[in-house]
Amino acid sequence: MITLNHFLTLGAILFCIGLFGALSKRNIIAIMMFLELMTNAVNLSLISFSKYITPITIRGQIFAIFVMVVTAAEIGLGLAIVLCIYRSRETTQIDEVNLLKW
Amino acid sequence: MGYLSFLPEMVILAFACIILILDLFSSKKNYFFSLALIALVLALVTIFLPFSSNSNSLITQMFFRDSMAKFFRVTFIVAASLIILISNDWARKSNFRSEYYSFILFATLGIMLMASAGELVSMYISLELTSLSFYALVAFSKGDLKSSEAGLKYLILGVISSDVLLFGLALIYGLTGATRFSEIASILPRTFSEPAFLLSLIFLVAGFGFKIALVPFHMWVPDAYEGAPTPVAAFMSVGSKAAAFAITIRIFLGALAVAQNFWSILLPLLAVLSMTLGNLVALVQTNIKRMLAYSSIAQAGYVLMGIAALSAFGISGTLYYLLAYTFTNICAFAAVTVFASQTGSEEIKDFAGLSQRSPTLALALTISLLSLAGMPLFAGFVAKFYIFASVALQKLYWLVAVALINTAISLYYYLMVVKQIYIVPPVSKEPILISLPSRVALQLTVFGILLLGIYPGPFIKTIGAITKNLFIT
Repeated sequence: MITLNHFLTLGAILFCIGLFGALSKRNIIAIMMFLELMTNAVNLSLISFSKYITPITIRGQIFAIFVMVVTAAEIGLGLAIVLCIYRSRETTQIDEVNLLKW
Repeated sequence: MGYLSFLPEMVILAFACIILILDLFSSKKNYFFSLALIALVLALVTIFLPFSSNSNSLITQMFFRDSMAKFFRVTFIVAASLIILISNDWARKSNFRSEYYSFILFATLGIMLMASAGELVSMYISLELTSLSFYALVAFSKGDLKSSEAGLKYLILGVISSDVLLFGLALIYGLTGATRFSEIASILPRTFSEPAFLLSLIFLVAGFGFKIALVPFHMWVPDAYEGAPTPVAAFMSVGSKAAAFAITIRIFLGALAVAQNFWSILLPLLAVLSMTLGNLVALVQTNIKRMLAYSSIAQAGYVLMGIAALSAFGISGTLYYLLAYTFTNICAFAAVTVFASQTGSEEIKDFAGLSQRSPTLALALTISLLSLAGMPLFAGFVAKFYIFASVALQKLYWLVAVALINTAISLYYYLMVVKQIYIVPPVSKEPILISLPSRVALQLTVFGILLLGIYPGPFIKTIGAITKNLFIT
């Protein structure tokens, strides 16, 4: 029997993997993918809360749909900035983008 | 008919879209500046129209229409108008003028909705609307690598912090099954001793700490401010910070008020860290935008003290400080914008002899820096006094002592700039010309600083009436 706890544990693990990847990867595109993973982990928690705790009002599912839209916009904007950097720098490695310090 | 009370937001949204669409059809680009100003003036007028907001439609349940929301919306519209005035010099050189002005309007819309959000989903959406507009605005100078880099850093860290915040919100939703602040406040007492609630509290503090730029979560601030176009940095430092403070007040004192014992330990700690680290690192900065960025981190610490006081008096102090800070910081950034657009430099040492090159600009920058330092006669003094008094009333004397020491430290680096302006002889004698919109913005902000510093009575009275009903303990 799969309970709410299973979903929440999966969500928490995915969130941690996403956070670790976003902080440790060098490639900007990979960082963006891990950011997506973090958001989707939260979405999973939201939807399972919605299913188990408020099955009638489904607020969590509506919340998750809004979160998806916002994330799509964020990643789109992020890729636009990456393109902008790539055109002048020919790199997608985050540690080679280092003009601003302290 | 509750949606009519959203007329100011609708006006701003409509004009932001109109500006984007008009850009497709017209070859002349010089009227977007006036269109954006017209939008804000119209929005300011419609805020004061007496529409009732008592109806029970869906949208009025998602957003507060109380007097605190009104206070913040008026402040933000005034701030956005000043930002548009100082943007003109910079935006004239850009090929993407309409996008710039519509992003400013979208950001204004976002912070206005943030300050009035009364529910988790609407809060998250308006917060993201603000953040997205600012990510784009920070990276706006397309050929400038610094700007793109700042935008990228801000975006990656911003998305991580949004996700952390979102996880906190999801846990609160899971614990209470509610998304509206008032429902959460009534259901939470049953569940707030669970470990999951502590986790969500930490996530919320981290998420909001990032938006406010408190110390352990401040690393993006100097980079984003230095890389961003100067008017955008000004808008970020006043707009998104004040809006995040508004949400923090609403969530922590509204929705999570029962759990006060858990989160009230964190606030003085974060305030002390922000003040101390912000001021100490600001001492060694050579770029004025970076210096102002660290000073804005320190200022966030002072404002947080007002919330940490946990009293209606403290919240009034917070609101007054945010109002004073809006005028003061925009004035400082306006002077830097004018200076940088003429000389192309943002280094503090290049401000040498500014008083001989442009006495007006020198005076305005000096007034704003002295106000940031909290000197008497200026808005910053009354604001600091207000907040320190509210903290002292709660018997948190050690916090006041730390804040006073910090004020002394901050005086040093503000006065170093003033010394450059008035005492060090100039390298070149070339006068600096101030364009008409920037001149108007400088005059208005200096007037605001002096008004709030010399005649604070009516403002304190208004703010006192706003916070009187807010605080229930």
